Amino acid sequence: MKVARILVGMAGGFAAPAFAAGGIPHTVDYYSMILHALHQDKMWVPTVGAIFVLILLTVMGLYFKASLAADGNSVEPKGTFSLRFILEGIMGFVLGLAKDNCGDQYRKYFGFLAALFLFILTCNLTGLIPGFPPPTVSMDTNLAMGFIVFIVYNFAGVKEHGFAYIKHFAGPVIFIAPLFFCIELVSHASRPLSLSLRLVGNIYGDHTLLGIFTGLSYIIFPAVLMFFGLLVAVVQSFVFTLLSGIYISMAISHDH
Amino acid sequence: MKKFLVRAAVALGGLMFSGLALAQGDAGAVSVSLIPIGAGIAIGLAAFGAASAQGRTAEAVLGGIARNPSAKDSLFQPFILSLVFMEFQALLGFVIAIIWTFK
Repeated sequence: MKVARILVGMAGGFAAPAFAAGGIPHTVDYYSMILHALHQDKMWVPTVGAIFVLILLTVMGLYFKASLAADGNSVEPKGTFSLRFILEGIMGFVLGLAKDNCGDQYRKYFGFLAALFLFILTCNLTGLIPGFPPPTVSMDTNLAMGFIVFIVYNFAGVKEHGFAYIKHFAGPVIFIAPLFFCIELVSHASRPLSLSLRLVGNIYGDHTLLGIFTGLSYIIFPAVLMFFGLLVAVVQSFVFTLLSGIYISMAISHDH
Repeated sequence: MKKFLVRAAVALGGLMFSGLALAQGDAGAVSVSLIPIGAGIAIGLAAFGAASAQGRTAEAVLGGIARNPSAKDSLFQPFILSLVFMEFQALLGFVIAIIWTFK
């Protein structure tokens, strides 16, 4: 019964933005429809979105593996436009990014950066489909990713240097170390915050703009905004991954 | 130009204080809030600063690429990074505006 209700809701609801008086444009989406049918609160929308994206990525990965095995595990691409082609293009791009930033140990951190890039990119791109708000529009998802990046680069630094990692926080001379320690503490603590705030600001702003323009006219104008949204989605996921790579490379660098 | 700016500032100030006067004049009947004006000014100034800074960056990078096209690949990453750090200031203005609007 519940499933039938969800299906009916999905068929009927086409992300119609309704303007609440004086507030943000209130949009109807599939995630909150599912939650409503299950009698759950709307605050779980980004979580459901993230789970949806994870399922999508898992299916894509399994399909990639299967198509690779069907090809006889050949390194050579087939030359046809397929999911494998797209994924290999993205992975090549992230591999170049990791090579540029993480130095000769890029293979260790490539998996992490690629996972971040794929997740954020897929999250942002689902926001372009009407009825699917991007999970990165909420601060919760982004702050979680920011803290994961924080833990990973500090872990990488400790693994590389051992206890000498603390020299990165001490500055060049020993007698101004306390001052430098305070400054570095603030700068490191603000890193996950600034990462997540940048992503949420861009995606929220872009999505709100898209909602307002969809409310103004249902055709033509949203398409322009969607092209802009495509740019923002790709650039923001690139920037998040790039900054994570730079933080890791700063933590494992030996020039201090 | 200067005269016009002074006049515009006077007019804006007058509008602001008229809002205050309206709010104080008959409380309850008309309530005029200055928060939307403040939020608009915040996001406007933030966007102005970030846009002018990004314009300068783009100018410099395009000039560099025009003079030396082979530098395109090595310029791309610093270009994006500098744009992003400027955009973050605009986003802070946006966040402040959002916080005050939905307070």
